Amino acid sequence: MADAEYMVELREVSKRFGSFVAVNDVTLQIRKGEFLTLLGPSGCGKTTMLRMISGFETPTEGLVLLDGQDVTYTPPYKRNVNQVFQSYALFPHMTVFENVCFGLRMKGMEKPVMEEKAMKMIEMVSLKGFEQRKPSQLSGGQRQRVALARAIVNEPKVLLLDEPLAALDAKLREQMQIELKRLQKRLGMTFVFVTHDQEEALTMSDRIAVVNLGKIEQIGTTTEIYHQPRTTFVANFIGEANLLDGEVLARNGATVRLKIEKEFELTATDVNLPTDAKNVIVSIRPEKISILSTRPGGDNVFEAYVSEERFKGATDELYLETESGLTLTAVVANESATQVAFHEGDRVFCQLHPDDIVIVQDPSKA
Amino acid sequence: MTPIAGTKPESKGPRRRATRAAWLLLTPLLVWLLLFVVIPSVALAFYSVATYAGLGEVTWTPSFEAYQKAWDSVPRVALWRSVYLALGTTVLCVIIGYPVAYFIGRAPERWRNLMLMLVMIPFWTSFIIRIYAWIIILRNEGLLNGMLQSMNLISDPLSLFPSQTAVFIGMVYSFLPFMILPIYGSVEKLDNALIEAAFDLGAGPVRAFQRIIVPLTQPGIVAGILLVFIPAVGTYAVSDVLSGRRVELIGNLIETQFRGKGGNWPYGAAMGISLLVMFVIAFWLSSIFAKSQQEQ
Repeated sequence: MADAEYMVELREVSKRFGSFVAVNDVTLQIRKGEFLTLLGPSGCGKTTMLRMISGFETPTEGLVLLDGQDVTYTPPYKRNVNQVFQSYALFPHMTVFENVCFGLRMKGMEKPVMEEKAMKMIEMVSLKGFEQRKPSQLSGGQRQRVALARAIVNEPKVLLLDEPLAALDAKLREQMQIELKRLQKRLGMTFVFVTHDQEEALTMSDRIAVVNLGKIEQIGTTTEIYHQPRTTFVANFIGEANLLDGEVLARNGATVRLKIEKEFELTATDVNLPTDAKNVIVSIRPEKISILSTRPGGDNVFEAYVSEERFKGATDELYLETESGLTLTAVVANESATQVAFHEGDRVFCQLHPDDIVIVQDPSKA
Repeated sequence: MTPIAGTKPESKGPRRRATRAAWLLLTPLLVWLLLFVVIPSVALAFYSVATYAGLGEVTWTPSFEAYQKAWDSVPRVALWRSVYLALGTTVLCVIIGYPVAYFIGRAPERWRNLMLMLVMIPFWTSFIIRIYAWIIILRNEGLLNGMLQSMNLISDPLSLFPSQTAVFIGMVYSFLPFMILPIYGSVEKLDNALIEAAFDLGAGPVRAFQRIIVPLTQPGIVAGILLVFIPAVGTYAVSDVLSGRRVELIGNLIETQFRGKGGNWPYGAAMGISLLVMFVIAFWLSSIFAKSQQEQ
């Protein structure tokens, strides 16, 4: 078997449940050793995609390839993939040690080898001393790590994680995110992670596939997804975004002159905009707006006043309103207590770098 | 990985004290137990040590006469026959009942209630009538023989009724729902993710069944076995009807002592109490065994 380029491939995969289309003609390639996240709202089909990789669902159409081999109709117990379940699904009648051993035992591994591997894995997830506990005697975070150890000990080609951190509290979740990412790097294992939490996706992933309505809206690195969202859905789902209507006035190479909401003009940079694009939607991240009290030099400046101010500790969230009633959100860092702060009613000048004005979609083509 | 927060297991809450409210809530149950369990058992115990005075008469002179008779060869043989038939019934009920209960428990929710209903519908008819119905099925000119003969599978009718086989069939039939319902209860609670996890870790259907499904539905199986075996040992109506009174079980022997006017009540009571004591001892031993297994 020649080395395949991708560890997992979905080729034109669809999955229908009755008349409901859960996954709609999806093609997805997951590279060896990468941390890929399927990100989307609940019911978008991301879990179904994962379950087709694990083998719990069979696609209605299309192919599933694992390391170059067609596994579309291979039952889950014959696939060299393992899953960490959302509910952890630890066997309640077995100890931590027996849980971790289960997969190796099913493979018919010799007892001394199996026990050594299991112990190593239990140590790796810092659960030494807990081997003889039953899952009911563990905390949520500990159970989570048992589930992880039970899957990884089998050295699967792909580790599938179905919202494994959803049941943990915020602090623990953050720690687990970091640990998971470290673990994945160390093992060089391919991870496919499913979540609806965009922050989690951005923290851990090499690449993110944003899923909506059974389709992949956009796939790319975390920075691509954040800085160059291609659809309004992606712009909205990942972080905050001001979405504005724009009209193309003129263009010169990658430089595009836009009329925003029929009110003021801005210059954006976009190399991929089709030449015939006229009406577009523009995404501006709140933290990309520079707020100044005096008119700065240079281009891309518009005026607004602060209609509301929300102190958020490290940042200040400002709600801006322009003369014609257009509203925008901006986020400014609270650098020091003595810094000039903006308050409700203040008149301010907003400046944008052309690269930070992202044209996400041409409405005439949507 | 570095150790993270929460390395201690969740602490158990303080043990709840039996408060007045708790006792108040328990009262109906305690009254029920007193009226229908304690008083009849005590009455039976009294009768078992009384003396038989012939033709349904009892004198209250304490004696172990009745117990001597109860451990004699006639009741012993009947008891062993009962235990043997009850064991067979229990085994067959597990073999038939488990797949049925599993199928119902894993079926889509909207079908479950309908199928449970089908299991329970026979309860709406009198038990005795349902046993008599088996005569129609099993006798020489009955449904079963007629069918087998018309399919040319047999030439002479199988003489199933009256016989011990008929009693056995009748027992399996009447106790099957008591096996299905508790197993269903366990299967229904079984988290599907656990079965998926077993598959995910490389266990095929057989091994997932052995190592995950059976151990996790064990409480239902144990409950079913108790609910079938205990009443099956004491059964008398099925053997009465389907053996033409020719297969005598311990239940028949006891029942005869209390039937009509000439019965020997102390003898019947002594057999009843003996049976009860044997069950209590068996239970006690099995719970000790279960505990020692758990501790391992």
